[in-house]
Amino acid sequence: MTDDFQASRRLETAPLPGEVPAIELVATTVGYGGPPVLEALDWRVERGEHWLVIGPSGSGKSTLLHLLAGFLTPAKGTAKVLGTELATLAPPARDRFRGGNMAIVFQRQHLVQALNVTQNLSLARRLAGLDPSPEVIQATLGRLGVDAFARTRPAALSVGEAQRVALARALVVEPKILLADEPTASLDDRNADTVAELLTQEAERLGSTLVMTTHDARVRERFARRLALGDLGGP
Amino acid sequence: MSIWSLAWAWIRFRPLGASLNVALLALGTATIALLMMASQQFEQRLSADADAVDMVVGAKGSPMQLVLSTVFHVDAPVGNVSAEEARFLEQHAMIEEVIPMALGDGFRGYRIVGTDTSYLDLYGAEVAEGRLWDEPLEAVFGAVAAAQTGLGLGDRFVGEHGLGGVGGPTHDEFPYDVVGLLAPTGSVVDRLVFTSVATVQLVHGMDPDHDHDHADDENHADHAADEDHADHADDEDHADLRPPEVTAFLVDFSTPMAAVALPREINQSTVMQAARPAYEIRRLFRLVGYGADVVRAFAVILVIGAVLGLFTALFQALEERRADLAVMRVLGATQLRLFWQIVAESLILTVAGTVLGLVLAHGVAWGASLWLWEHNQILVSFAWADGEVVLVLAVLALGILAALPSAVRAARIDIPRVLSGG
Repeated sequence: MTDDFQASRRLETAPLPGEVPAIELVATTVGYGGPPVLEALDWRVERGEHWLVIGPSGSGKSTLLHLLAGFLTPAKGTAKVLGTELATLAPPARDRFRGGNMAIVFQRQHLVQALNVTQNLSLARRLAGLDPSPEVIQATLGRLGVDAFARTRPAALSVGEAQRVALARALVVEPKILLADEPTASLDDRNADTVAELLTQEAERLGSTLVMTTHDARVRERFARRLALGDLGGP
Repeated sequence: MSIWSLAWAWIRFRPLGASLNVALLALGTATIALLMMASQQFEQRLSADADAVDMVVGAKGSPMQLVLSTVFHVDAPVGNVSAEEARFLEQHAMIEEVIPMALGDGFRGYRIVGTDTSYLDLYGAEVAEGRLWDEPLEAVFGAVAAAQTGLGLGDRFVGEHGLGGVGGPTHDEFPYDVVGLLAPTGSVVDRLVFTSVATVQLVHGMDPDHDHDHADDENHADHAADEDHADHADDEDHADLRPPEVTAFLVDFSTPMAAVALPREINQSTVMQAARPAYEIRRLFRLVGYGADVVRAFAVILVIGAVLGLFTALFQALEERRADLAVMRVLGATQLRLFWQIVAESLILTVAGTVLGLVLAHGVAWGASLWLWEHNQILVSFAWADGEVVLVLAVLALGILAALPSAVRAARIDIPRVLSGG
């Protein structure tokens, strides 16, 4: 089943009784100080659901992820993640909440160049407040097929390998919510397919809620739930 | 991946720049530390020599020259005073002890000092070999003077005018016998050759026994009977000899009141001048201190330059790592964590520079002390100078200060803009 929703329209998803949704936006307006990028958005995502956020450039896909990650606070309305309204948290508490519950994969890998692959994952676990367990790190790298690069610096990886390492860094903290911002945009077809598959598989395995933004048609069919932002300009 | 291990990883990621930062800090720190050690050594050695003597009394002239020539033996004597003046000093109620000093000659650059054996007590000097001087023309060498001239017990030498060693006129007719060698003291004693006052007077054509009954003078009788000096005893016409003079008297006070009253009394009511070594040495430190201050100022500028270099390097590195820092925030790092992350990197570089600087300074001092001992038998310590702890704390504080602008900038990084490539 495929659900396309325009912005500002409430998603009709039936939650389990008493369960706090993973994401709940109510009449949320957000921007960067100028005109709002997202206006009066209502959206509810239950735990464990996988969502694709689509829309043209400038439609607010990345802004939505920044809001969910707590980098931005709503100008109007409320935005709750795992039942917590991030805007009410002090900045350090917001940072800790993000580290402890969320992980983000970007279009560019943004790996720390001074650290090797294992150290990048170790840093992620440490900042998430977790023990930098070598076993967990090695197992995660193995699942994503990049364990051979454990001691390799990011500069020596191909774009596809680096993106899988970035994905491993996100998954190694076993996040409750996994946000992915155009993770396949800079990859070739084979790598795009691999990364999209790994992303959905691993999120499924961990029981994580997955929200992925994209305008990449190659990965659309993998997601049953879609949130469309802005004017898609087509039927 | 702790703060420190990440900071270390970042430092290792730019080895050349980091090494340069450390090297510059080390150079500045080493220069200041060396200056501190040298100043402290200089002051301690001079103070130790000066503190042994309460007051010097000699011919009128420059008080500093009087002190430098009679206490430190680094300047020409001011002139001589009549040995008779000793009576005034010996009988003074405020004076505990008077030690005469007769200067004028040297041997291969080491000054021959005519004095009492009580002079050695001022510096705790002890005989290592042989015995102290007793008869005329007997000499005892300080440890450095003996080692450098190569003379030992039983050797004979002649004094030269002035400090000697430049081929000047010599007193060939008055050869000295080496009868004793002193143990090292680390004081001025090590670099002197000792003999009796009477010997110096004799060598310079004075009559040491001018006011004494020759028949009663046991020492003189021995001297006259001395085979080595038989010619001298026979040839000298004592009627032609001048009345005895000495260069100065070293005075030990019997009461602290003397420090105030006695110099004034001597300067106003005698033909002599009194100078206090402790006062003159402080005056010397002030004069020499200006030069040391200039060098110290250059060293401080060197450290400040190194800190500015560190500031620039951190700031530049921050620009290159904005994405790293933004990702760390995404992963859960607080603003405070990023702040300390930058400070930690600066601290590692600063500590490395400081430690390397101190090792360098003490290594150079150690090498210099070995060289000085091997070539001049000068004992120089390379122990910590008093101000080095303050120096370390100051450099560390500067290192933290250099990191602050970058640390604040790191903490305020705009995550969405950086991660979207802005």
